[in-house]
Amino acid sequence: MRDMDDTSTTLVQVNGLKVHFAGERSLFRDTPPLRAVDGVDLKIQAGETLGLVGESGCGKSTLGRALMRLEEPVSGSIWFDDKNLSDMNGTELRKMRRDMQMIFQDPLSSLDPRMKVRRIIGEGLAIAGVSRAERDAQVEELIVKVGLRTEHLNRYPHEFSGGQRQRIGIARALATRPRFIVADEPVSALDVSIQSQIINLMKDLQREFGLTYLFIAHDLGVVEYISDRVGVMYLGRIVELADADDLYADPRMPYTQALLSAVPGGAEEGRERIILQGDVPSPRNPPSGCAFRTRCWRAEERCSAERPQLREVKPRHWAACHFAD
Amino acid sequence: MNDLSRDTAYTTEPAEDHSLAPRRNPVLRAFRHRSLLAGTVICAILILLVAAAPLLTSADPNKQSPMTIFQPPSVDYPMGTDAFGRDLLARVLYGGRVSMLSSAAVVMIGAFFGTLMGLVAGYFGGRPGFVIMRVVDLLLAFPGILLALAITAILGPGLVNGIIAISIILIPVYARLVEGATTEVRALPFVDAAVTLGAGPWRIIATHIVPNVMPSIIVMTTTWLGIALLWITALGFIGLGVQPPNAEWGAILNDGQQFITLAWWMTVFPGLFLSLFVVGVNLIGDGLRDELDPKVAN
Repeated sequence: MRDMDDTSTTLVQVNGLKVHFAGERSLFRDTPPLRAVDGVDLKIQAGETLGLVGESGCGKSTLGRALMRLEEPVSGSIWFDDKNLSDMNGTELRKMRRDMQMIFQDPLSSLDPRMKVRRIIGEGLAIAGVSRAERDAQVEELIVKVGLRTEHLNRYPHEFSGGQRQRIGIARALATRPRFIVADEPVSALDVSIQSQIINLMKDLQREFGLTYLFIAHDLGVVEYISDRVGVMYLGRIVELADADDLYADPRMPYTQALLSAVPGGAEEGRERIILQGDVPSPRNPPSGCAFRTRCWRAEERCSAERPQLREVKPRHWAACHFAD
Repeated sequence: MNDLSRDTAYTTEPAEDHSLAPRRNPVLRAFRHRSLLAGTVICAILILLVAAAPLLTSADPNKQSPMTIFQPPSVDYPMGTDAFGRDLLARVLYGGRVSMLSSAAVVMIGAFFGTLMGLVAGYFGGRPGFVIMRVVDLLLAFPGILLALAITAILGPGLVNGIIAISIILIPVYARLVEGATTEVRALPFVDAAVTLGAGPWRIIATHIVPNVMPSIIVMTTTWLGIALLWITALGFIGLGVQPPNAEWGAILNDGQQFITLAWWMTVFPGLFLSLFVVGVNLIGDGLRDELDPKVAN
C-alpha cells in the first residue's frame, strides 16, 4: 500500500470544495457564514489510508461529512470512481452511498439505543432489500469479523463497552461492502488501551476487504501509525500533505511543525517544543492571506498580502507556505 | 513505525458479559412506582366494571319507568334511579363506556395527526416545517376548551362532533412535543449513519425517529387522556356532547345537577366514577413519566 506511484488509481477526488454554514441574519446584525471547509482539493488513492489532522474546529470532520454528502457543499465537486457525487440526488445517491461508509466518533450515540445489534448491523442490508435469511447469515459473519460473538447480536448497544460499540459501528459500515470509509475520530472517545485494538482491527479489515480510508483524528500518533499519507488542515484548508513518514520527519509548514512538536516524545527526537501563541482565528472571519499568520513566528508582510497556495515543495510533499522550500 | 504493539490483539479484548447480571423484568420493575401501580389498579377496576356492564346489571340504561322515579340507592337499584326512573347503575356503567371510548378516540386522533405533523416539521424543517409550526402556535394560542366550544358550535352538538373538536385541540399539543423530540433525535449520529446506509427520510422516520420519540408520546397520552375525558364530559354536561336519552358521565351529571338537593345519588355516583378514572389515569401518567423519561424524573 505504501509504495504507490502516481499511476495508482484515484478513488475519491475533491475539487475546490467549500462548505459554509449560514450565519444569523436579522434586523440587528448579520453574522457572516462560518467557512468550515473553504476550498479543499484532495485526491485519495484506492487502497490507501489518508490521515487528516488538525485542531478542533479546523473543518476536518465537516470535510469528511461532506464527502459522505451529510453536509451540502456551497461549491466544488466530489468525484467517486469517476462519478460526480455532488450532482447526485434521491435514489441514485442512496444507491451510491453503499460504496462509501462512515465510522463515527461517539460509538454510543451512533447506535440506535432501541435497536438490537442484529438490526443495527443488518440495517444497510435491509435497506438494500437483502432477504431476512441472507441478512442474518451476513450479519453473523460480520460480527465475528470485528471480533465479537454471535450471541452479542441479541443485545442492545448500552450493554457493551466503548470498544465493543465501535466494533459494532465498524461491522455496520462493512455490511454494505463499501470501498471507501470515512473514519471520523473513530478512537478519540476510547480508552488508550482500546484504541490500538480498534486501529489494528481497521488495518486488518482494510487488508481483507481492500478498503480505502480517510482517517480523521487529532491524535498525531494514531494517525502516523495507520496512515500512508497525512493531510494537515487549518481553518478549512489543507495546509500540508505528504507521505506519513516524510511529513513527520520533515514538516515544511510552521503549523505542522508546531503540531508535531506537541506530540509527546517529539522533543527527544531533537524537535524543539513550539508553543503556539493565541487562539485559532474565527472561521467566520478568517485572516487575509495565510490563515496561520496570526500565530506564526515566521510571518512577514507577504503572508498577509498573499495567500500561499498548496504547492509541491518536494516530490510527493505539498505545503501551503511561502517559506516551505 | 510499529510503535503501537500488536500483542494486544483485538480479539482478546475482554467482552463484558452482561448476561450474567440479573436482568429484571421491566414490567415488574416499573410497578415499583407506587403511583403507577395504584393508577393501573384503579383504571383496571373501572374498565372492568364498565366492560362487564351486562353482567352487573340487567337493566336497560335508557328504559324509562314513571313508577320508580327518584328511588334512592337500594338492593334493587344500587345507585338509585333518575328523574325518568332509569336505573342509574346501568346508566353510569354504559355511560362510562361512551366517556372512556370517546376520550380514547380523542387522544388517538390527536396523537396520530399531531405526531405526523411534528415528525414532518421536525425532520424536514425548512419552509414546510415553519408553516406547520406557525399553525400550531396559532392553535395553541387559543384557550383549549374555548376552541372546542367554538368548533362544536360550528359543527353542531353531538358525540362525534365533540370528539372531533377536542381532537383538534390535542393536535397542536402533540405536534409541538413531537417536533421538539424529533429535532433532538434527528441530530444524533445514528441518524447520519442511516443516511449513509442509503435510508430514505420516511424509512428513517419510521425505524429510528418514531421508536425514539415514542416514550414522550406515551407519557403525553396518559396525561392528556384524563384531560380529554374531562372535556368530553364537560361537553356532555353543557349539552353539546352526547344527546339525550343516551348516557355519558357528563350528561348524567347534567341530569342530576337540577335535582342535587333532592337526589344526591344522581350526582355523586357518576361524579365518583369520573373523578376516580381521571385520578387513575393521572397516576399512571406520573409513574410512566418517571419510568420512561429519566430527564424529567431526575
